[in-house]
Amino acid sequence: MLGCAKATELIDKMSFDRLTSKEKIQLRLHLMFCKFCSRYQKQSPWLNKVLSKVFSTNGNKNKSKEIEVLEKKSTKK
Amino acid sequence: MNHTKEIISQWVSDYTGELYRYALFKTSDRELSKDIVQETFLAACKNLHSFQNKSNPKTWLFSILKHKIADEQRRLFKQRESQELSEDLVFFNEYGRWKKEMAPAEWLEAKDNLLEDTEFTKVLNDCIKKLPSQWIFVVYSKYFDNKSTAEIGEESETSTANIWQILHRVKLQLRQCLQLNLFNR
Repeated sequence: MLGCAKATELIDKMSFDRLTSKEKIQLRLHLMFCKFCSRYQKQSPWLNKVLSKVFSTNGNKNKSKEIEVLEKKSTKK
Repeated sequence: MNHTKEIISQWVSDYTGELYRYALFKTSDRELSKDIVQETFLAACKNLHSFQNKSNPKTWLFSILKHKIADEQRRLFKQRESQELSEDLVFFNEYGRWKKEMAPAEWLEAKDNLLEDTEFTKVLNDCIKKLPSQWIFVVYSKYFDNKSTAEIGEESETSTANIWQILHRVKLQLRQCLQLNLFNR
């Protein structure tokens, strides 16, 4: 049986890549018995949405302080 | 040429962020990455005559950067891989099951309109800032540049498996941070 560590890996992998048939079956079995990972399965795509939204609105606009300092240093040289 | 200073200044302003995030991703070392980025601009300045608008400046700067990183990496140990294995233990016990305090709770308020909420956005941004900085390169590439895992892997000469491992850990940490600060009160 799949552990939760591996199950959550597969859940996230699903959004980026295809699962093998074996992985699909193993994951489905695990989710039948694990409420935590079932919740994770709901939360993971929502997190994708949230991350896409936050980066599309902020993205390059918020240069971190660190990078600004580095820019100044590079220009001096 | 007198134009040199202007050109380099413009490139510093345009590309420092990207160059730094890439270097940090490959080396996981802030100070080293800063040094490498500065050296890259220095080298660009010295060799500007050989550039002459032959290609995209970003491509050229990145090739200089990658060479310098490769030089450094020949001297570095591969500590990162053993570090990443122990990261799973933060969330899961030795049987591979969720630790009680880390386990997902029900998120009843996780609707789409939550994204408009300013308090939520603040907590979210704070949680993003807590992510290990060397992962930001991957996060930007995926969620800002919308690149595929394969593309990111190819461009950074990292395996695709490693890329989605990192994205997986980003999600685990972010989820945990949000749960702790928002959904579990």
